[in-house]
Amino acid sequence: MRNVCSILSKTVLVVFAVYAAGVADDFINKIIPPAVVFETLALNHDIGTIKKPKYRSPTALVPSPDGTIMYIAEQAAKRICVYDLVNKKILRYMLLPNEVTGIAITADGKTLFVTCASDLWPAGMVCVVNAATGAIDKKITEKIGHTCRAPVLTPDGTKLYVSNMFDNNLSVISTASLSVIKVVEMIREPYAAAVTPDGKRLIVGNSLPNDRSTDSEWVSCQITIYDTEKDEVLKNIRLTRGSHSVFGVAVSPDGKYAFATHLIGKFNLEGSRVTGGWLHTNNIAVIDIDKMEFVNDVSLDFVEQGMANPWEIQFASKGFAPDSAYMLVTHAGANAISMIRYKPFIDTVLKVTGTGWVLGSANDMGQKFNFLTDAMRKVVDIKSKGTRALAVVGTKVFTAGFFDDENGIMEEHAITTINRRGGFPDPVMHTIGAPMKKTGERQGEQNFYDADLCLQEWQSCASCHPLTRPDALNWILAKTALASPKNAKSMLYAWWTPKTTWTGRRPNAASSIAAGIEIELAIAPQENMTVPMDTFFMYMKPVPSPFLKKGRLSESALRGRALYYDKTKVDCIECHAGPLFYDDKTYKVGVVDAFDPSPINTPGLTECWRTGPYGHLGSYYLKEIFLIEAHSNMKQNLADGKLTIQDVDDLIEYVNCL
Amino acid sequence: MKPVLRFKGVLSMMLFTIVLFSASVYSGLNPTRVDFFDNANNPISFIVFNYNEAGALTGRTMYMADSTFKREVDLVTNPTTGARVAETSRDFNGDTSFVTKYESDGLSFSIRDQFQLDHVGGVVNVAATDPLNYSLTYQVGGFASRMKYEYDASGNLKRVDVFNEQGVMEYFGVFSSVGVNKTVSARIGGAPQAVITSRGSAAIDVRFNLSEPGIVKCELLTLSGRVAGVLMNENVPKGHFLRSIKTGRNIKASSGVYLFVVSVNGRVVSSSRFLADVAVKGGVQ
Repeated sequence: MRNVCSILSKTVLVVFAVYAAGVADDFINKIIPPAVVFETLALNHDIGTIKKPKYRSPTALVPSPDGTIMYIAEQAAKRICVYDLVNKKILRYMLLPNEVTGIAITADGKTLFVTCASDLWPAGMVCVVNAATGAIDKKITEKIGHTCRAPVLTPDGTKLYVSNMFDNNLSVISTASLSVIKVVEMIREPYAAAVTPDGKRLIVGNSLPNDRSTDSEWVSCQITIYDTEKDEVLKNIRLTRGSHSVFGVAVSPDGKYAFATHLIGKFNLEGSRVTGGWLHTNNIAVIDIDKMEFVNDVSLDFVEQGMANPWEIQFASKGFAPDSAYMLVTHAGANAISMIRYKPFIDTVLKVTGTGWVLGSANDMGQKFNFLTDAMRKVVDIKSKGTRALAVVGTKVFTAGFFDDENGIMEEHAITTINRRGGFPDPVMHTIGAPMKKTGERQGEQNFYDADLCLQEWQSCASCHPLTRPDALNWILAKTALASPKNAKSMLYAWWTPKTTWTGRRPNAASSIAAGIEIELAIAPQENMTVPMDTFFMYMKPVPSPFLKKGRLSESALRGRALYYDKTKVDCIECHAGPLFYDDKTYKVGVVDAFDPSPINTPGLTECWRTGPYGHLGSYYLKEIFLIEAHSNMKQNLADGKLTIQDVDDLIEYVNCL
Repeated sequence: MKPVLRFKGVLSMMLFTIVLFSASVYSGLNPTRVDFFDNANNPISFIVFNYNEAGALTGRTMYMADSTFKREVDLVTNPTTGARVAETSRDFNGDTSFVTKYESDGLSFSIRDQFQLDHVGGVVNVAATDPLNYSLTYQVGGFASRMKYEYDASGNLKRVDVFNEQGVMEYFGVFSSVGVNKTVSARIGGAPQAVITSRGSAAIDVRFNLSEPGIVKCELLTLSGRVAGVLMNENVPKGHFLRSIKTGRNIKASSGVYLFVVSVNGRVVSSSRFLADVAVKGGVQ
């Protein structure tokens, strides 16, 4: 009896222990099982997963004023890496609530102003961060806009300027009150900015043209000259025809000139080759700040070598003799840095420009590749891929590749122009993170931005499709008798809305990717290039529209949505049926085209808000294309009184929300 | 000690544990929301839980920390067992964005988007090391996450911590619970949108909790404020309430957008937009 009870007791205990250990909590499972927690954090890219690891993606490098610390904006990791340059080690990380898009540091090095926004959560915020502790002292969210970036502090530290890329405006922040005191309209997708040394002028680079693509005489992006004392726009200056993708802006140390990196798209030439800068040249625009005039445009390319996708630009003057300052430019596609001696550069520009620049004339430096001599400029090849960010500390320049996952390094190079390429000291490599393996999607994204995939590195896919969307130009690319201009297209949902091209002449995105590599990058497409890009395209997701109100449709958009699905009022859904708003059919929709009478494959409407101009030629603004009679019954219904002007505006609002 | 007494001791301990365990688990209130933070205490996002009149969870709504709407999630449960089978996430336009499917154990899951693309890395196995601690691993191998839940002294869910592979807490969620849900929410036709096109037998489901009896009135107003129809006007007892209102007979109005307004004892507690579509059979006549 004793033994039986003893055995029974132990057995019950063991069974119960096993039972208690193995049973999940029923209440937790009913309300918030681990899957829900995981899904919430994983789909927001807070937790890394096998499919979506948290890559670093360095997007900005900002040194402390004393040059001992480098603050590395690890955009996708939502943090800032604080790196000790002296002892070559990571000190700590500062966590931010969203992706880090830019950093500005006060003159005393005590405070960081960090812009945060992402494709998943585009509502911008400026975090005021204690540099010593990493604590966020304040978050400025009121009147900070969609996809904010490029924080710039005035030299006196009283104002901070933040570009709200997809709100197309600029927030002016008082650093005393830590609040936005004014919001100023810009042109289109302000991406980069710089302030003059005296603090009086802010130069803002609007990265895309805001014209009809068919305005081929002048279609280009613009640089805004802004008065920081009056807080008003003084002038918008057009760059060379075909200019787009302004991703970097800098001001010379003497404050006289502003410089903007950008591409010039040769959209008016049939795309028969890529060499010699036939499709794109990679340039720096020179702006006279006092005169508020465009001076000239300088190609950064060589005769036999493109320097694809110039990105950030900065000056190095401290530690150099007078008149020996350098201008440094990263080439994100060519994976290189140009180190340009500034004095001979600007002297050459002014001399060649003479009494005034004329497009296509002998004094137009934009399409000529012999001005930047070997004595004037050295190119340093960068090991890591996607060289966007750069920082200058004394006589050294630092860069970290946006796609440098496998190595996790920041490169330090001496600034010099000795030798054109090669034959110079090895860089110092700083380890800023553990190696990470690339997923297929990530490899595809890197391939998209990598001009190593292009003959002579003239361009990457991102040259015509900056940030995978259109460059707002139309191009003559088809090698057929009917080759005629076609508006650059967005890559979003290209995989899921076959056929591709405006006329639907390619069966799917995979064939377009292969054709693009073969024709526009001029190399034979290999599987290690195309397959990852296929994956990248498959996973592409839209950025929430700036027209949404806290992520939801506005009142006007709600009315517009009701109309959109009301067949008695408009016929939109006959062709643009959700959820992708396309039907894989071709139609003649009345877009006036003197060259190509082909019917057009229905484009999807997602992200309409950012992909103008519209139509296969890029000849329309949104409201105009709505009202083409052959396109829809809207114009007729408007005339018949079935629709009001307000109805049309509501419809546009809804479409802009998609 | 005598074996019988020892056995009784074991039984007593078990009973005590069961009572304690039950008390700590089952006496809690339904949480209304959970706020997520990173380990620097930065608010990231929050979830609001949606319940039916019986107190059963029907779904949730996810927002970013600034209240930007991200997605509406509806639960699909096994009608026999009540076990979670799947969850469908929908965006601002009501279109499916993600689907989470649960394995037969009701815990393990996979997440795919509307194109059936895997967004995590296959099936994630979930194992409870004890009722409050969970280990998540990928079926293909490798660590996914580890989580630890916590209840407060009142038996309410208090917190969930999320750990990385090194055991460092990276994120945490803080739960909020209230006794009676005093929010009146109008769900229209089962769809999350405030404005929809009525289909078939148009109906509006109205559900809420009342802490005390009251006069509940549901009206359709034009956007200019004119009363287009009174769908309900009656005394409602305290507690959960669900009424499915057919819109067809009660509305003398043309198609268009109206405000659906719910008031309790004369005070408006909720309003949302409703699209009446005369072109569709069963809609507004």
